[in-house]
Amino acid sequence: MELERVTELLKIKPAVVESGTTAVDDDLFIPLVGEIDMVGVSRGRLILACVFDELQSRHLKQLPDIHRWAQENSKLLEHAYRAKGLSKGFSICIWYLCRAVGSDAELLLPALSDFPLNIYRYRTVKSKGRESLAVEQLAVKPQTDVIKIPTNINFELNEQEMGEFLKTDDEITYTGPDLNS
Amino acid sequence: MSTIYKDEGQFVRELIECTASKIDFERPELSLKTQALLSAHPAKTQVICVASGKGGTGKTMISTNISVALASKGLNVALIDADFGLANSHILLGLEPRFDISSVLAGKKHVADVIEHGPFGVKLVPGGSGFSELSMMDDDKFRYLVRELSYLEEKTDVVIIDLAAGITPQIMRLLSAAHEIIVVTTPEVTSLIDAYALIKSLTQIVEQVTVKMIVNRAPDQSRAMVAFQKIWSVVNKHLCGKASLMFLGWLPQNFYVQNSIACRKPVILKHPKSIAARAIENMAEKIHKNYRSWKGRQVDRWGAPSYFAKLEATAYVR
Repeated sequence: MELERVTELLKIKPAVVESGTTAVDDDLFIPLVGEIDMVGVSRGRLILACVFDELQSRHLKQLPDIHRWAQENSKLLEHAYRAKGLSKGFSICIWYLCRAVGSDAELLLPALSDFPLNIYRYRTVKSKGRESLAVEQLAVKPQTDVIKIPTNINFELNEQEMGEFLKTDDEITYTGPDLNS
Repeated sequence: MSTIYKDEGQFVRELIECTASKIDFERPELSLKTQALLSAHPAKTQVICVASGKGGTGKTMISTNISVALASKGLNVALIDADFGLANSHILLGLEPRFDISSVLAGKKHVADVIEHGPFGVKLVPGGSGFSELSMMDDDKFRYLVRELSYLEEKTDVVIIDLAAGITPQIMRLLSAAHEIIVVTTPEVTSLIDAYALIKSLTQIVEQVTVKMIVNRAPDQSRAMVAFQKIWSVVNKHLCGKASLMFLGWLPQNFYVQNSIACRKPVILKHPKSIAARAIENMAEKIHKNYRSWKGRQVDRWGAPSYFAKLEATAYVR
């Protein structure tokens, strides 16, 4: 039951995991491709979300296929999102949401570091008599790829960027975060 | 010829339905390479890099003081002075190192041998001064140094790396693997522009950059706010989705800071009641809180990888 509730909640409020997630339309929440429960775009990424009760190794073994499918079809998906004015292009990101992580799955995780995978753990919490969902990202995926450092770094500012820095202090109204928090 | 769909949702639905059946979910076992990666371990030490675009922002003063403040809270802290060849953290800590990183690179000493102990047991790895060859190490030297520095992984809770000013490939390399990045700026527009250029450069290497900002030498809080607002709004507008800024704190330029430098003592010890000292304590408290939360996530294989292991996996590309 809880699993269904999480999926439902994701459909209604995908921002529970990360703010700014926008589905193309409601019909897009289709549990068809493997274990994918939701497709959406967020911050220039195509999000494929899969919800599980307990994450097991068999779920993780589907990851290469889901990723390959997303890669093969990303251009077509981009077309759909661009037509809606939602994205000019995106990278692929796969979210696995689970209540618990099985020990067999945990062993496999470091081996999947080449994939753009985020794993979240969800749990229901009660506050003031109301039930809600708490979701936390379990960890940054272990980074084992080679980080490429360009020897010729381009850090030139464009005119717009420069113009904003050159505004006088009188033109600035503070809208940033609370500095005392 | 392209097909016209009634709506994009229908288009994607059909696409998914068509291709779903083609996916073979029963894949063979993982390759040897991926099996080998199973041995990856999470970091034991949190590594915080302190950087700035422009020189003279007060990075070293802030790095040394935060190191001492964290150590005073009971953490085992190491400070690496990575302004190799032009290092002066030891001066601000009142230390006179017998050896420095150049001895390590020459193969004469190990990192453990060059460490000097400052207030509250802060372990300083002196960067050496008076020579320029260390400012741009070749790949072999760099990797050798990283392997040597990884000694700190077992021995400390937090490592603070005081970087040189500028936007060189070596600085980018050291920043790219950091668990936390602090950028120090002053309210001057030139300093803000250089801080922004540093962050922008980093977004070309790291997928998502989170930077904690310190505004140093602000005449008052309102000027610090204006400075932070400038860089915060430009980052949000032009590096949206690639970088995000958080405010760690601000520091005034006043007699107490200058006097503590002249006395070669951290301001938090020399003038503990000054505004600057209290501001540093406040920043250290935030860092400490963040460390505790980070440490809580490092309990198993889920954790962030070791800075030094990650750093070894970096490579220059032309």
